[in-house]
Amino acid sequence: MRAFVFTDKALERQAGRFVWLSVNTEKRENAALLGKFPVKVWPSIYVIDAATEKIVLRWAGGVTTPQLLRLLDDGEKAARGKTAPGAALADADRLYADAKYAEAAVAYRKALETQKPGAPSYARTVESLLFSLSQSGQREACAATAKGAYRNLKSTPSAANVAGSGLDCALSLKDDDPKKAELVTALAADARAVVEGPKTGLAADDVSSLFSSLAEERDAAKDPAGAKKYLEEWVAYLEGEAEKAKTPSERTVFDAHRVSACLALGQSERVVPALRQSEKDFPDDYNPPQRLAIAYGAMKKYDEALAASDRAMARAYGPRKLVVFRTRVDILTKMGDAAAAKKTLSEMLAYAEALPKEQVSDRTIAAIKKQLEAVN
Amino acid sequence: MKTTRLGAVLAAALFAAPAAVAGTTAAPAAPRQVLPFIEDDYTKALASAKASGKPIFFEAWAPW
Repeated sequence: MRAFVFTDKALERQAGRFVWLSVNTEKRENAALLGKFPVKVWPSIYVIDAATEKIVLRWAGGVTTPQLLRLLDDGEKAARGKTAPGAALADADRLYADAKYAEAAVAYRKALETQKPGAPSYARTVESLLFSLSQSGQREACAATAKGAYRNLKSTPSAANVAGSGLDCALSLKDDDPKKAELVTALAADARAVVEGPKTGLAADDVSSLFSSLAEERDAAKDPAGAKKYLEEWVAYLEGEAEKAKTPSERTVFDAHRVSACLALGQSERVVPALRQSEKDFPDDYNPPQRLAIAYGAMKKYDEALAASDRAMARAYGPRKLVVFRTRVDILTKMGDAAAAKKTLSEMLAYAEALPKEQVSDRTIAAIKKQLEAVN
Repeated sequence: MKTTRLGAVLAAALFAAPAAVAGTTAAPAAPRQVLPFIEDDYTKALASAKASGKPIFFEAWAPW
């Protein structure tokens, strides 16, 4: 979003509507703010009423420029209390902002009853409903809602996320769920239609996630050849998108997905040149060497993996550094160096315990302790 | 949606396979933004919003 959306000149005219605040949640000095406005999804967008310091609209995940423009309209109305025509939506947004997902789902359904598919906030309402259903564990309802809404949104920027969210919900249903097969089949067809169709206006990360979900669906259907086909298409899609990038910042946005895709395909070596280039372009960023450590680890090039991990460790900060520790533990474990893995786990625990409480959960610390006990 | 959909990464996924939690937020050296963002200063943003009567657009991101 920072590379593609907030650089879009179409947004210049919006500058005067809001006070724009960007918060890096990894920084220690922002920890107290996270106590006030908890963040569980990255990126997250909130519209805050300055008078009450309450969130009046929340969006989880990235957006395209047209989606953001819609959010700005809805957020401004909500902050100014001018929400009479869409009061049900404003109620739902408040519940969603408070992370009351089960109640938000009910409210978003009510809001949908008052909107026709072409209505300005229809797509946002559907996507927020799907997220609320998923977060409150209502996976069958999530899949069924996505299946119903896809036909109304198939030519919009929301198509990929609706099909993908629905397919993920359907795949997560228990195998003995009588509706699972029908939902998976329908939503996989929708997802295929998105990845095989024109992708103009779709967020690349939404499309990327669809390839992953489609491969997972083929795996679940015990069709390894079909799964491999989607993994190959996934890697090729990301390589193509990265090639189109006009700047190193735009290109490196795809690195994370490329690592995931190449690892899933069993071709980690394929992403190494891109990561090395990213490390050259962004020498202070821990992400490229962290990803190189993962890729080299998968290739069993452990010396190179540890060297990359060293570079990542020196540059990482905040809660995300725990993932750098985690990768290092994984590499050392694969090398069979139990003593070094245990030492790294101890350092990881000390690091986690020193983080502000807003940046690390008790659950995370408990998980590290449990793993440390297991290797003792 | 999967709790670790690649574009929207949840904190709960911190201890999943590292590659699966890798999000797509831009690298720190971000290109020029067209909106006048205040960086990491809520107090300043709140004061500005109260003075101007505008709502705050709050983007929470991480350099992943």
